[in-house]
Amino acid sequence: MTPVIHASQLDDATPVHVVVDDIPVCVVRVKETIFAVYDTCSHQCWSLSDGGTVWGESLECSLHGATFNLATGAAETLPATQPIPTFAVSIDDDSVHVDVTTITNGAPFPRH
Amino acid sequence: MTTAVNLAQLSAAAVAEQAVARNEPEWLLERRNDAAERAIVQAWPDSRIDEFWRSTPFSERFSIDRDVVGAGQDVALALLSDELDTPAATVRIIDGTVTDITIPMSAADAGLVIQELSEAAHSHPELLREHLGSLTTTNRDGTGADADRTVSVNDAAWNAGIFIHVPNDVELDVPIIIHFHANTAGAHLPRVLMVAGRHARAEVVLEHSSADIDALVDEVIEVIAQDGSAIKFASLQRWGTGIQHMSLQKFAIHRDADVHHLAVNTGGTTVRILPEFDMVGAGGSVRPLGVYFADEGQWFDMQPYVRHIAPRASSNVLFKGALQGASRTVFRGNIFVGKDAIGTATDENNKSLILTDGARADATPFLEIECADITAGHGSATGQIDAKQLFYLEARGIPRDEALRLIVYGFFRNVLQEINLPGVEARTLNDISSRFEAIDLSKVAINDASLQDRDE
Amino acid sequence: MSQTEINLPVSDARKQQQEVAQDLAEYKFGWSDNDDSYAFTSERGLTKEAVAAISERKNEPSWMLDLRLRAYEAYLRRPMPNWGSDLSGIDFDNIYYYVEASEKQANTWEELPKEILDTYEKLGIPQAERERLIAGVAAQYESTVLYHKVREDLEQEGVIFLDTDTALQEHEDLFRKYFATIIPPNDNKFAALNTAVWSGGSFIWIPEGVKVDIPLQAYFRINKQNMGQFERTLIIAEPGSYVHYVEGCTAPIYSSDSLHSAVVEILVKEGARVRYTTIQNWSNNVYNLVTKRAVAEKNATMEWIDGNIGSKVTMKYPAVWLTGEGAKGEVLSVAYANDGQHQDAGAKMVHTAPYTTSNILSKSVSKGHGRTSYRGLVSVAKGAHHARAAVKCDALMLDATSRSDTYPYMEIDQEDATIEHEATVSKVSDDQMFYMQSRGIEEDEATAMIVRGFIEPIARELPMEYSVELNRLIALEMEGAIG
Repeated sequence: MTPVIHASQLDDATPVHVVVDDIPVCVVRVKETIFAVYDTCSHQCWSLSDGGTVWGESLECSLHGATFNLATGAAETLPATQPIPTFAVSIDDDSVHVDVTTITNGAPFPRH
Repeated sequence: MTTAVNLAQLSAAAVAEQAVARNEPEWLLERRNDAAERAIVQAWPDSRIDEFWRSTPFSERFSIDRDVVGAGQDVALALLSDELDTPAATVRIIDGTVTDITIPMSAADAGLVIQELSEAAHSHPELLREHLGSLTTTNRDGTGADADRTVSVNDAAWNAGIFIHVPNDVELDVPIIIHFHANTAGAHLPRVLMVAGRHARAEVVLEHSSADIDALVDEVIEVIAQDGSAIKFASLQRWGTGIQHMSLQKFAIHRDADVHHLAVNTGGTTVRILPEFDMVGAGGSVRPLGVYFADEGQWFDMQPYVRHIAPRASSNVLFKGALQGASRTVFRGNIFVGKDAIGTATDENNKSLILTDGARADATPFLEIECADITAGHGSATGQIDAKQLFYLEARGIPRDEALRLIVYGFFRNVLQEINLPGVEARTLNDISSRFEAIDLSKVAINDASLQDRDE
Repeated sequence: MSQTEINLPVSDARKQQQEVAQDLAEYKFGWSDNDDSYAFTSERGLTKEAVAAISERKNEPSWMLDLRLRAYEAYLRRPMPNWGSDLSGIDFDNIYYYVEASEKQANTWEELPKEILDTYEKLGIPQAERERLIAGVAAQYESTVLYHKVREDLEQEGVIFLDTDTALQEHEDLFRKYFATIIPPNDNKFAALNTAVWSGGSFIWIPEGVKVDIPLQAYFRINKQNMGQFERTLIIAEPGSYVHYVEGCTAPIYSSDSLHSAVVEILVKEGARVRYTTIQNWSNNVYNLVTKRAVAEKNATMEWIDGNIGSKVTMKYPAVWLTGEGAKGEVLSVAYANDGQHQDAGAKMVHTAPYTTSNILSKSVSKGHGRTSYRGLVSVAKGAHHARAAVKCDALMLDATSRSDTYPYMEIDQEDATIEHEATVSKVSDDQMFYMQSRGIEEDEATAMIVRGFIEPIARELPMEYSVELNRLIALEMEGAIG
């Protein structure tokens, strides 16, 4: 578990890019829940936090609009067909910790 | 000591300082200054926006924050010219230094000139002023490449440049072999200008090699093939691991001139070659050829571009590649036929052989045609070793591994033999075999779809 | 030397063609109706309020309003494409984004306002229905579907064939499950625009195992100047079903431009087959920027037959995502461009599952200053083993001033995929012409014959009356350009 950001720094539904052990991670707070997903679209090599928008518990890639479920990593719309890895998150006081060694949905890292 | 030129923070002052140290004439300093100013305002390529960078993410595959390597020290090299049993004119460049130029007497007597560019700027100012940068800066036909910052940077800050002049009517009896070796990490900016006069005839092999170092090579080669000249030109990329190489190799093909060009990629980490041919004279012909063998971790981007501007010229592009391991190849061919290019005959083909799991081959053979009175075709095919061919060889008692080798070498051999430049076929097949034989041949994919029903 | 005029007998066929050519030296569908009596016309230009107003007028559920607003934001953010055709002529602020010609949908043709009925009669739609050449009709006029009818026996089998607005009201759950999942709101700038302001189009649901034997037909008509038409079509074919959907499009000729930007999403489930045929004959002042994408699941077959004859600019690349093992995709594309036209058309085949096959056949004809471009993608993802794809593009250039481009993209990420691409560019050769003329066939007629032969592999795949129509259009285009 690596501390990455303070929960109080996360605006609602606003993706934030962090790097943990050389792995790009997109951290999003939706109301009271904090999600951490692999910060690259499974469709093409593009950072989801770069211009990505959050709709409910879905994250939309700004390149071609592929949408992923933040909780399960599942691709909800084309052009993505593969899920993105989701990471274990814990909150210690105000500190958000991400464990990139624990991929909670078992999805492989997209290869581009 | 002069200030190092940094590619990411290019400064016109540092560029000028280097050029003054090389004692270059005023006109050349001005050109370098113009190019530096152009480069500074240009953006680096963005693979999301720039069509020519679409398939190779520039920011991921090339790092530009490097100092240009100036001086170089001679090292012992296994030179292609040493392996030939026939004489050759030879040039050796190590890092930023031309360490040797040797011209056989017969060729020198015939008038062949090979010089450092900085020197030639004094001895052949009229030829250099006319031709140096004539194919990289926007010209009347609008075929310049100066919209790309990677080219502008070389225009501004090239070093260890070579000038080759084959005068009118001179048919060289020896090949010209240029060996460029990168021995030091950093940025390398080689430059070649070749002018082949009317009815001149020449063969050139440019061999690239390096130590296993982290280096960027941003190269520009301009070749002017004047009326009726015949040029064979091969560029071998035999880099060590860690090299990021981008090379614009651009030819102006004048009336009835004939150019054969071959790009061979076997080494390096990221290699992006742009063989470009402007058919500016009626009746010219060009045969752009490519051979590439991509192994684990390698990324090769091959972009032959033929612009038919003048009438009755012909072009026939053929690129063949094989891939193994987690490797990537890009073929982005483009044939443009302008409205005045009546009677053009053009063909464009790309064939990829995917040998093992994990490789990816992109092919984009484009055609843009503004003139109906032509013949044009193109094709591309991506597949595997044909089970029937393998079966045929095995049935004749050839062991499977040997049969696989024969098929892979056979795939490339006709291209290498077609250009028939000294040492190129043997060296290339040798490089390919050392890579192909290093893998587990039982993992090679065989296309058995024709022999096996999918419902089985 | 004196000139002697020789009068050769003119063949009947030739005479007939001349007559037709005279009739149709101009675009045949170029008349327009009066638009004074329209039920509702939005202001020109697009704002967030205008998007909300469309949703409100349609009395939509709030999730659809949210989706529209989300798409509107994506539309604002996305840059215009920097490839393909020149789109700088589109004046987005001058466009009417939503126009209702009539308040209510008719069940019989006679209920339609007379002018509109006359339009459809001229287009031959009611007649086709009377002759039972089609199993259902949707006729869209400006933003809304004014006439809709489906054969009763199909309704009894459970087939849903509705205009998309009605479907949202009547089948909200089914609708919501699929809408904008195949083409997300932010897929591209024009898909975003469509998702923000969509209106009309067809919603089709074919129950498991039901095979609709004759085509369902939609007809799209733009009447008003500076109109933007943004229909939205969603087709779901349940396992083992079959449907053939045919659409045609025309518009009047105006001096300023209109915009047609549709989105079509299709889901073809296991073993089902969908064929989607378009004969687009928009007038030459319409920008036609359409996103069409289908998903083919296990052993499903998706076929796009795409004819682009009209419009000023078309950018359209029907796609099939082959996501199930053994799925098949096919695109047959024919494009024709004359003066002032650019047809940038093609296909996309995305193989993501094993044993998938795709086939693209593109035939394009450019004439005068016309430009045709084939632009297509074949992509084979890792894991799609034994995928096979073939692409063939043939271009015919009729004049020295024409332009033809071929931009094929192939991205192969699987070692045992087999992909082939070939293209040819040709013109009508002097030999061909000499041969035909020596047999008394005149030049225009000979050209038309050669073009018909050239597009025949695609024309024969069309329903008969469309095949005849396509050949006739091509022949007229050859003739109409004379003089």
